[in-house]
Amino acid sequence: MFFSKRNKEASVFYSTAAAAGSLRHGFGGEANTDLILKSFVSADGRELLLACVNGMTDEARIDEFILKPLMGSFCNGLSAEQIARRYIEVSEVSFERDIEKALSSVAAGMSALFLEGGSECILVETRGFEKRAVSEAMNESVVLGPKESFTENLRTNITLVRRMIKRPRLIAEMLELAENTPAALMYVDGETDPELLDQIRARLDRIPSGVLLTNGTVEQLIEDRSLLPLPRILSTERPDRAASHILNGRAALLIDGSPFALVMPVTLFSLMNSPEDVYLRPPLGSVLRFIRYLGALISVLMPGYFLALALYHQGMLTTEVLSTVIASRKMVFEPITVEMILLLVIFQLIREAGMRVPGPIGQAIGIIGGLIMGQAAVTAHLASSVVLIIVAASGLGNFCIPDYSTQLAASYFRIAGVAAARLGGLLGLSAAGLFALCELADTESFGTPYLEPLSPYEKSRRPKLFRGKIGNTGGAGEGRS
Amino acid sequence: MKGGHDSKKVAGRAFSAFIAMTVGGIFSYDPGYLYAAGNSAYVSSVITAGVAALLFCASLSSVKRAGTRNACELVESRFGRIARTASAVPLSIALILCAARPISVFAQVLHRLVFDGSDYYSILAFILPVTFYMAVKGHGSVARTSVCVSFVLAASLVLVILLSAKGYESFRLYPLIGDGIPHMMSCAVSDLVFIAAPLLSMTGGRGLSYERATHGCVRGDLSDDRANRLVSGIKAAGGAALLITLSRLAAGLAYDPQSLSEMLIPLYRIGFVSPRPGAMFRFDKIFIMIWLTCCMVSSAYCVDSAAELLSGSGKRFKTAVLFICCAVLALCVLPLFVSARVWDKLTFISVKYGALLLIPYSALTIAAGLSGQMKRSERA
Repeated sequence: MFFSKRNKEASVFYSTAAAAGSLRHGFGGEANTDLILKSFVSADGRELLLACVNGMTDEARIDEFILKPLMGSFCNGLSAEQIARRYIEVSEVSFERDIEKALSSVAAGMSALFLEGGSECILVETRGFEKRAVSEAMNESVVLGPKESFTENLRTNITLVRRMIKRPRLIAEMLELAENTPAALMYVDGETDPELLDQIRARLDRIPSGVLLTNGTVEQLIEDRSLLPLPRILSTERPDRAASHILNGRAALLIDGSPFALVMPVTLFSLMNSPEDVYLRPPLGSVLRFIRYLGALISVLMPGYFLALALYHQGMLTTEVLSTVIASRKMVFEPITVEMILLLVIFQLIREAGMRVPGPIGQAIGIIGGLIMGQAAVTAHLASSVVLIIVAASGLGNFCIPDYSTQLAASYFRIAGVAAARLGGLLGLSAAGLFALCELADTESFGTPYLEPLSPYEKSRRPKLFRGKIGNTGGAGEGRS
Repeated sequence: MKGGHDSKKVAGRAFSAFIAMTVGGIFSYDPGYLYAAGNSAYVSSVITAGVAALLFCASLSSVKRAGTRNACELVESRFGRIARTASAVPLSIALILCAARPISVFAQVLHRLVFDGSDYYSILAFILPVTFYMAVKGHGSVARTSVCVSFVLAASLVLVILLSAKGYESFRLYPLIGDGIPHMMSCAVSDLVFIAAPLLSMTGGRGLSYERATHGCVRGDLSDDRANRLVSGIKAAGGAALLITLSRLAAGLAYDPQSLSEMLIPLYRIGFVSPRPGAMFRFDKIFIMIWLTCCMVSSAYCVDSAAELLSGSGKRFKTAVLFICCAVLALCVLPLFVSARVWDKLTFISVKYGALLLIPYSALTIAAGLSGQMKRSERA
């Protein structure tokens, strides 16, 4: 049986009636009907009080392993520790003297047992609520490789990672974030930089209360500051991806209630890698990776580049291409910049609408938006076919980016590129590109440069556009950048 | 530290110096002066790079022997604060020239050849803010950006030179090596300000911009950077010399000296001399934008280096950067206030006599090193 260290705070419990009053008051009085206070007596007549929250606990476990043994017990003259040792048939038990802490534990799903005349309560691990089963990854699906994804249950998520990394030195450091949110910081002892771990702990400590802590909010609260909207922490729903990063010396934060692991630190190259790369043979993985980078470049640069050419550098287009552009825009009434921005906005609308509605309808929206609206816009001379193709190609390229937050950031870069190209053609695009590159180079994720190992350049770990053999340092593993 | 992790040191500043030297050698010279007596500038660039590397090695050896952090500290420790200022200020002025000259050249080329109907100042409005923003962010950002950009610069130059090969004719090379030596030497000296100043500045500031190498997230160690600075600097000088020589040789093979003396950037449209221009015909503007990007990085590096030399301990670095930015801005907008003839004269003077600005710094550093060595010998 596991007993935690006793809390030496001032004791408050001398009678179960007083404890019941404090609990009732702490839970907001009679209005809060979720608090269950079960008063009962032991076989020798000692008053006992069990407190728990309805729906947060495993009732069968309470009945079978706490109430039943205690009702038939002889508790008089026994301390809390003696009672726990003799009668409570649950492995995880701790003792608490502070009423505030006891209240927090009860709110988190534990059961608190108060003894008449005792100076502390017994906290019993009885958490048990409805949870989603481990299911297939929805956002990071792969053809080859494991299918399972994280759930909202912290313990399940830790187990999923532990099943991948069967090392005794895999640490799941339990933390309590603000608002009593349990979390686990997972890393391999000896592989991960202790300085990084200290930095993560310090940032987690600074999270203010009053915020609902999920992966999205925690990510924003602890990430490094940057002008760019790119993520500085990787959110992944795949245990294999998190495990791969952990094996490479990174740390993953699992938060109770969030089906994602937050991996820190990350680089731009690790955000561009997909789990699929590693599960395919090197030539196929290399082709996929190359296409992905190409897609990202097309997504960010193509609309701006086309606009720059059409507005300022027509000489760079061949006569045939130029005449096609002119012919397709013959009846379009708005300027090409407005047309481009309009189509980009419509593309974002379709994407957003497709994501917010259930699966089959979402697909239908995509088809309607892509085919019918596009065709209708060209027929109505609201858009030219050439610009429509450019926007569509750029959108397809955007979908090649494996990370959702990076995808969204690329969409903003695309619009910034269009604005820069409108202002100064290729000169504007170059200036904006250099500004973004400088910001990217300056950005850090928990002390690791965002463009590492390209910049700062390290020959032994240069980022590989083409995937190498598994096990090679510098690019083969998914966690490697 | 993780087992088996090679604690590599990563230096970005050498990449910045490489870009600054390449930009200085290819885009900053005065064509009227360089090609006045033939197109043998490709020979002079080798001499210039050699002299620059020699000055750099001599300065750094002095610093290394004296055990100081940089050349400014060495000069101050031997000859006092005034000598330090006397050595740092001329080099800072040279760096300001290195920052302003290529920007001015690119703005002129873009205004005349790329953006019809635009004016010189609207082009500057795109270039200067980004350059100054980078400079304000400091050496770390510039160095990291340089690493990304330097590969693109080298690849673009090599690609342009190769793609234009069909138009090269060896009869255009005049004078050949051995002829016109005085003019070649004079060109080598005139180039020195743009090629040697960025390299020498590596000895004056806080050294290489070190990043701690990371392996996953296990960090490497840092060690003394002076030995590394020497190797990195020589590599940067060698790489830059190679690219400058190849570019000037390509320009010499593609155009006669008369045409070259009127071109600010001969590599732009070098492909047009080919009977079948091919891909170059459509991509000339892409290449010039790549080089412009490198020019901005180079200028930001020069601004930061000058600010580092002037600010000394680095406490007033940002103020110095702002001051240098103002100086670069003033030089870039000078054509607004002076006539074309005066502007050309100023350019000619800065190019021809700019090398003089390097003398106080190099001489005082070497002298300080020698004086320290003599003192040590006497004591021994």
